[in-house]
Amino acid sequence: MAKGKVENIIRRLRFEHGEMTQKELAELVGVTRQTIVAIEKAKYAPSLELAFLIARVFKHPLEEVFSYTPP
Amino acid sequence: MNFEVKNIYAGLVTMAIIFTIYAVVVAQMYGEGRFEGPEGNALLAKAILALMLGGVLVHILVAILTNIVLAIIARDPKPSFVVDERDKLIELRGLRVSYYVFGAGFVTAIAVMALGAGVFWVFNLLLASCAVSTLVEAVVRLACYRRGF
Repeated sequence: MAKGKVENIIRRLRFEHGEMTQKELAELVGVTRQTIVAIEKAKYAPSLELAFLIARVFKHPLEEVFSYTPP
Repeated sequence: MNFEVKNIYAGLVTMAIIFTIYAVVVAQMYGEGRFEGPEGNALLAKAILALMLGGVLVHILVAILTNIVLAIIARDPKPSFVVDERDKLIELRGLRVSYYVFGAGFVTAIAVMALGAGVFWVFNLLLASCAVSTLVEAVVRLACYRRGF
């Protein structure tokens, strides 16, 4: 199955939220900093639960934070 | 470097230490002809048990030392011990590949046994395939961390 791409605006949202660091976001959602790096670079598509947790941190709807590009 | 990557490196160091010691000791004993006869099989079983127990102990020691040394080098007083969903997916991918490698080694060992090889060679082939599959698993996991997953 061809894979689509899950992109996001986390980097922008972090800076809009007091220049939150990747480490701070990682601690808030319970993952490693490396996972946040991979998500920001669209190298890793997070689980639905993690995506909701990240969206909740920024108080944005899920579909505003993440977007899906089909293959 | 996250906790899981440190553990992978610790596992590789452990494997190198423990299998080198095992290979040297067992080769020496084999040269002395101590694995011949029914007592030889019991001795081989003891050597493999010692390898397994030693492996667990060495791995714990190496993992602790690796985490301490890397925390000192990185000047990180509070290193993270978090293991998340991405780590688990990477681990699963590594395990899947390692099962194939071990399966191939297992079939090879049975084929060698069918050709008339003794218990000594069959069990050591199984151990070797276990070592190779662990090595392949580590390489696959490190590649996933480096290239992105």
